[in-house]
Amino acid sequence: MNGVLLEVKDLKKHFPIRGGVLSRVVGSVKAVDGVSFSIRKGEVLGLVGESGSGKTTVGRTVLRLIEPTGGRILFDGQDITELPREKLRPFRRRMQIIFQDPFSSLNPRMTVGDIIAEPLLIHGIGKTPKERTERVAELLKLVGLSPDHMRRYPHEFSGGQRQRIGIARALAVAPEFIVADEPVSALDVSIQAQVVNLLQDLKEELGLTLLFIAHDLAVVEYISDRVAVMYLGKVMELAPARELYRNPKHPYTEALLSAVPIPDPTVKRERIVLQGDIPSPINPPSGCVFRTRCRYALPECAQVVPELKEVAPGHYKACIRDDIL
Amino acid sequence: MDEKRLLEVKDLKVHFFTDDGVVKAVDGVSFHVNRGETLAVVGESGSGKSVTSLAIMRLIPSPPGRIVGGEILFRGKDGKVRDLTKLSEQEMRRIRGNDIAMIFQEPMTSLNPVYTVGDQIAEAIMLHQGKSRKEAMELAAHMLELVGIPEPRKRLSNYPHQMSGGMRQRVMIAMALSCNPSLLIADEPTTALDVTIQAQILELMKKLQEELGMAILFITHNLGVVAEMADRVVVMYAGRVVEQADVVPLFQEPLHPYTRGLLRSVPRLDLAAERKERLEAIPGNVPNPLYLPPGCAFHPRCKHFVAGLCDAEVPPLEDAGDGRQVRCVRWREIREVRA
Repeated sequence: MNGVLLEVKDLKKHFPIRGGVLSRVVGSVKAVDGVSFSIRKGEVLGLVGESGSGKTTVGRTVLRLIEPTGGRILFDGQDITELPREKLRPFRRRMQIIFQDPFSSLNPRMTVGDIIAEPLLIHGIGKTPKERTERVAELLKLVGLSPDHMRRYPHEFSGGQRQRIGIARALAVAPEFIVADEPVSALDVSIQAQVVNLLQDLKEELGLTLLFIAHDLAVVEYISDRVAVMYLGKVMELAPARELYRNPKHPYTEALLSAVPIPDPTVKRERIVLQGDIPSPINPPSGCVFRTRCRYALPECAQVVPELKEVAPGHYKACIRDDIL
Repeated sequence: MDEKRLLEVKDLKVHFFTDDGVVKAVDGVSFHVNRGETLAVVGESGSGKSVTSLAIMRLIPSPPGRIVGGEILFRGKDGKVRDLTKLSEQEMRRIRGNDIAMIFQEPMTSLNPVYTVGDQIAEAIMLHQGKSRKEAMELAAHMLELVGIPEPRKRLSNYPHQMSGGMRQRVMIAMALSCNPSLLIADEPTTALDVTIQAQILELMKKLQEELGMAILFITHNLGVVAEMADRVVVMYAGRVVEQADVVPLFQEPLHPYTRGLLRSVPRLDLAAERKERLEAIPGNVPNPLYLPPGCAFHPRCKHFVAGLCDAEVPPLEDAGDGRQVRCVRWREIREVRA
């Protein structure tokens, strides 16, 4: 088994809410509230959840694109939680991000070549313009585009091609770890499969480690080795991908899986329709945050915050009820 | 028009006259909707599915867009069949809301932020049914109850921003159904919603259809949603219908290479155990509507492409038996090879 590349311990991110004339802090949004997981080298960890679950905040916090409120982030054994900017830079080169929206994440005034070369300049890779151009050409080929595309502008490309450009930019500095934040959600159905396949090939070829964030459970299941399910800033369940989908142990995972429409009109199944909406992260329910929508909830669920505990080898859930599922 | 039919679109053409040239967003589209059934129109961006639905409502922004050909026959509540493309704006206004209602993808932008939801639902009822404000408010509360909003009376005085996305879509549905339309056009109604909320809205739409009996024209790109909701399916690509069939045969034996490609490219949770190493992606890109490939618009991405045949002329929409239609010159050969 490979070693751990990223370890996150009890990660917290609370966004302050300011109000009144003096802009005093009057409350906080607990976007991420005590999340722990680790990713081994070469592994893909999927992170699923609905809007407001905190999955995107987790992705940005582990890269320190936003500062955590609490907890520890260890990258390759080193604590990077409080590293000052200059000391963080060498780590930044080893970790990159791919964004959801291929339209707003590329500067429309820069050529594709300049977009991909920018991280090379920042990190001082490739001494001469010629070296950098060669590297850009190589990257474009790697993501299935042509070196001729270098002089064109983002608007000349389709959504799928732009996402490939975003991937090439992330790969420019030869990172070990990539956070892919909803990388296929904005793409057409026929293009999604192309990009998923590309990410998988690149992962194999370059030995990448991925944190794959998405709300589409089928895509996550497909690409991930293990999957963590988040709800209101907490991890509800974490298990090897197939195990999680075949044998969900947490009531939220069970409901989430049953809500996904299956593209086969002959499949008839009992669906668990969750009542109500996701509560506000400003004022989350006491005890288990899912209890207000849970069909198995007991009075005790309001009392204690359930720990994420191992219920089968490598299979963790945060639920006090062991008599269900 | 056949007695069973509520809507019949015949050879509809909607073109957009832009500075860069003419975009043939909808180019000769024909289909029909029977009373009380759900027809799904599936397609990716640029397929023309949304433009088709806007054309039925006569809501094509003009300029630059215009319905340049075809007919849209609709049977009104009075039993009369009218060609919607020929109606005056005033006549059309009576059809909208009353006979045909529409819900959109983004419930936030389709509600007015400065009026309460009660006012907005009541406005439609007063306008179309000539009811007093008090009666309209009463009916609005009833509609909110019907779409499963708790404490409907209290919610009438809420503003849209005080509601969640799922609640807002329920309000949109309440508003759309308040005048008891015979056709509901739903343009990607659950695309902006989370999957557990999507499940709620789909269940609601099915329940309301059973109770109220309206037909639904469901526009979507999500094949899972199609399988769940549709009686029949129309598949569109680059402004044309490429396949049309009942929902079960379409999923079991897609005849057009594009339909087949789409179905095979989505990862499926229920088949996780027997999954392959790679997804079967459709190569290439969705074509630019300004420069459509000659002949069959799908040919540059099709693995069954034959030069000189597929790129020569636009294939006709052929009958394939059992009420199915397919637009591919090679569909018979492809079907035989598979069999």
